Amino acid sequence: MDPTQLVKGVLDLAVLAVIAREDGYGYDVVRRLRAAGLEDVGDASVYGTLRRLYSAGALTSYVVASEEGPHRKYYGINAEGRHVLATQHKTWTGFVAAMDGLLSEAGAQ
Amino acid sequence: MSESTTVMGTQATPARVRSYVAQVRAELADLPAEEVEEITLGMEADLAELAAESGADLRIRLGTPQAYAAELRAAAGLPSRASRDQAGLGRWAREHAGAVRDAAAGTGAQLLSGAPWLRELRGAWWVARGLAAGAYLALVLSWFPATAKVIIVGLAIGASVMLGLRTASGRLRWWPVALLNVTLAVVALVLGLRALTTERTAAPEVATISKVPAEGLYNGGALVGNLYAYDAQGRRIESVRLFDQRGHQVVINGTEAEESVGSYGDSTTTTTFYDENGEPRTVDSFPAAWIGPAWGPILGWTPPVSIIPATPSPTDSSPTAPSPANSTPTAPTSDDQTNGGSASSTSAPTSASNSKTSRASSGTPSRSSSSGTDTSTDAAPTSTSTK
Repeated sequence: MDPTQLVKGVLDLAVLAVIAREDGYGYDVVRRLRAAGLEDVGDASVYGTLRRLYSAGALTSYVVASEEGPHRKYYGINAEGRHVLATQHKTWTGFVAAMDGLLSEAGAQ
Repeated sequence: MSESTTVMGTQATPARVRSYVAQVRAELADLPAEEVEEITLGMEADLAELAAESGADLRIRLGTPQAYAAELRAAAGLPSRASRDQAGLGRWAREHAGAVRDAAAGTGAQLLSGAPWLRELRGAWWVARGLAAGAYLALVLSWFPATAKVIIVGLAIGASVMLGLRTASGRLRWWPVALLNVTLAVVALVLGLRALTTERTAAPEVATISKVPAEGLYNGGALVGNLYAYDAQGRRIESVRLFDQRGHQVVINGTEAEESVGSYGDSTTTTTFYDENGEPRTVDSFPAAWIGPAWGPILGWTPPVSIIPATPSPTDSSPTAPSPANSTPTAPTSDDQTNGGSASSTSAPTSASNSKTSRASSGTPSRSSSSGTDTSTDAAPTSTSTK
């Protein structure tokens, strides 16, 4: 089983979960996802996901100006984002439950 | 980039990060400008942080900018470039260049593994490439002195070897060098083809040159400078006038004879006849008198006073008999500009030194007796009349 493929399916949920806890910029989100155990997350995938969630209205964004370097773009969650997060969380819980059931049955045999 | 700038959000950007982001932007160039701006805003800061953290090459950590951009598009739900790119040519070229490079690298690796000694030939190839480039430069700069050309070729060889060393060490990108190589190959091909075609066209030129002096009188391919006539008994005729089958009197124009001969570069056959004033004159009565020794050796042959009589021909006992058709070349006095076609009247006795009996002996020229000038019958005019 390819972890990269698994991550892709749940990346929206994972990113929303990270942002819901605290605003963050792209690489910060990547780092926090990896720290949480999702080692196989791709940098560009995270950036793209952030952008897509923003376009879908699930995230807010703001730029933090820098005096000596390039500007940094932060993302934060909004009401729509929390709704998406809750919905997807339910979907995920149901999915995991189904998988757990399958696997425990398989393990019992 | 100073180490103390790892404060959140404020970081100077190394050039390699800027370059990477620029390439990602280029990959997104088909998208609306504000979309590209939005999606790449903050990217430099993030990647600079990443680079400072990991220390590794961005390409190792993130993949190529192309792959990065593709992943970005996919995750952001943006159309892939292949489907968006209207022109598509740049992408196509890039992809195919990559394929060509990969194929070349694969073939090269295969060749090298099969014949490791090929690697040793790289130096020779570099020298050959420099030689080709230098030779081409020297050709273009044709007005340069030879020493300068030698220096140019030497410099080109040096530059080629340096280029080869740099490419081999991976300090140069492959495609400019490949472009140079292909250009040189094409130039060499074009020059080679041109050399071939000019060689081919040069041959007919020589042929036409050899046809230029065709105005003179020829015998066996050689220009006739003078004529010596003998009768059937082998006695030399002191003065004779000759006519061809069209009734045109055979003349040798001094000037033309000289020019024609001169174009051959054959100095021994220079046959210029001059009058008393030193002007070139047209000879219409043979043998022409020379200024100088009257019967000097010409081309190693001194015309004897008499030769062996011709074997009498049974069918033609009377060579002087006028043939029925001899009325055509009627007037020997008609200033017929014939062989030479140039100026000066022919009938007038322009050469006072000519013998007096000339007119009388050639009063009725037989058409048959002046058969073709190039039938090299060195025997006496046995009147090769048609039977």
